[in-house]
Amino acid sequence: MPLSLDAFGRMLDETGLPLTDAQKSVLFDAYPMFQAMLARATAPLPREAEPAVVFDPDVR
Amino acid sequence: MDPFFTIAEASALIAARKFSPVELTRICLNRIAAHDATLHSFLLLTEERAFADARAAEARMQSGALKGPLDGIPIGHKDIYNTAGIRTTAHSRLLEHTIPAEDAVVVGKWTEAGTVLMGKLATHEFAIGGPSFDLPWPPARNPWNPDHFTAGSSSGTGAAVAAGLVLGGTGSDTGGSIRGPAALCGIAGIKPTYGLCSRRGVLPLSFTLDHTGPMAWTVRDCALLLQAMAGYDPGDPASADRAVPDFSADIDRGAKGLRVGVIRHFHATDNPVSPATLQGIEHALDFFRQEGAEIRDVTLSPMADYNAPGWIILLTEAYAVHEPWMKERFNDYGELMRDRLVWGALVRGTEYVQALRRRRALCLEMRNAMADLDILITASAAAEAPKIHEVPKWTMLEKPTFTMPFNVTGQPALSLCSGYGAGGLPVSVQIIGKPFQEATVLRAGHAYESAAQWRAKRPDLVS
Repeated sequence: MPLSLDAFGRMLDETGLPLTDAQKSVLFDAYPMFQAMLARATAPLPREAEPAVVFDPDVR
Repeated sequence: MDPFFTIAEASALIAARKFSPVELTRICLNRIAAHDATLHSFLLLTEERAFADARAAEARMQSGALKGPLDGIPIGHKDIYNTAGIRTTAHSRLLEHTIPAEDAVVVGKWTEAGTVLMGKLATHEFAIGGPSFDLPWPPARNPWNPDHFTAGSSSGTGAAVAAGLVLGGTGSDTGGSIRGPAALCGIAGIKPTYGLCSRRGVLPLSFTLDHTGPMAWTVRDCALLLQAMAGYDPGDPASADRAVPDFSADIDRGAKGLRVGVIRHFHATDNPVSPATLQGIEHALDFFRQEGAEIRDVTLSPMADYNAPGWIILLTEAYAVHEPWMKERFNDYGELMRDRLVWGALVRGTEYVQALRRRRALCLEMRNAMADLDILITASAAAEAPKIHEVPKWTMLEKPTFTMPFNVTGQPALSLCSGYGAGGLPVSVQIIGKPFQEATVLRAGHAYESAAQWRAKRPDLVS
């Protein structure tokens, strides 16, 4: 079910950012595009797939 | 009218003691005085410093002690590069009066090479928020038509180089911020391999995607500038500890024998380009074919599959950098910057890690695709520059860009001019190489650029 503007506003409130209702509304309109991008970036991978950045113990 | 010079041309004349660095600096300053009120490419002009640098270069010229091909060459730095004692703002109200104590590493390297610092150049706010009209300075304008966009974020460098206000400059590229302005302003710009050039002292946008690199009128000039930028920096955790080759040694070797892959689906279907852009790409491919290069199509994952993890990583890392200010000084940012960064606050930790895992899979795909190729070719921008007031706020969400895939993979990528559209605005092509094979990319780009005639024309505004 699509997210309502109220629910989206509550999600933004959790970020702690001082957004006005007008700013939330602007973001809400673009949220479907962001969700689509996020879904594409996080499509399932094999359990053992490593990330591109791994910890290098030889820190400089 | 004062003549235009490339770095290579000016350098040769200075080396032969036939041209004064002080005179060259004066030509650039005159051009700035005549045109930068329209172009807004400079946030700060350092005229006194420029003449001091030029006089020092001239003294070295007269005593036979020139430091190399950049000695006496007027340049500018994007205003996210720290410059000791010189205001560095990121084009933002938040840093409006900030004066760093130290130079960025690559700024120091160019100074050591003898460059003449003309000033600090416009950027999109913190290299992501632009073109913005609610900041302390206006956005840079495209010299080919000032009603049009420069692209960003190295917008001032793109405009200043194209207009001949400087002969070269620094850019930074996190999702295309060197190659985008190079494309729309009709110049050359190379995003080197991740880790080739130090980022220390350059204000971060996204740690795992940020690259520093040069922009200039020609590919050969980019090679000269890159030579003085590249090299290991133990103070930059991403810096690659490896020898730096001579980027100009083989630049005149031509294109014969190169194995060229065309990522046709990127520019034909994933984000279809304008007719003039497509014509420019085909013009370049015809050249490579005629020169005896081997050409074949390459199929990768859709361009959006590269853009998605790239933008999720970028927005998350950028938000991590800016979160304290975003909470405390939200309205001191420009609207575009703050609205775009909000998305980074909505990415969960697991989603960021999944994007990093996707990134590795894409790097492996790219490595395999290039196993028996030297370079890849596609567009660097979809079309000629749009009008500056018609740039959408959510451009990165709406369509995949041609540049982000190579920030994700970290490989070197060059944008260069491949012609002009119906309105006289430039179009471009992108040449991509294997990691740390900048010399091959520059050789291919220089071969095409030398054969084409696109460098004979400067913007009407300054001609």
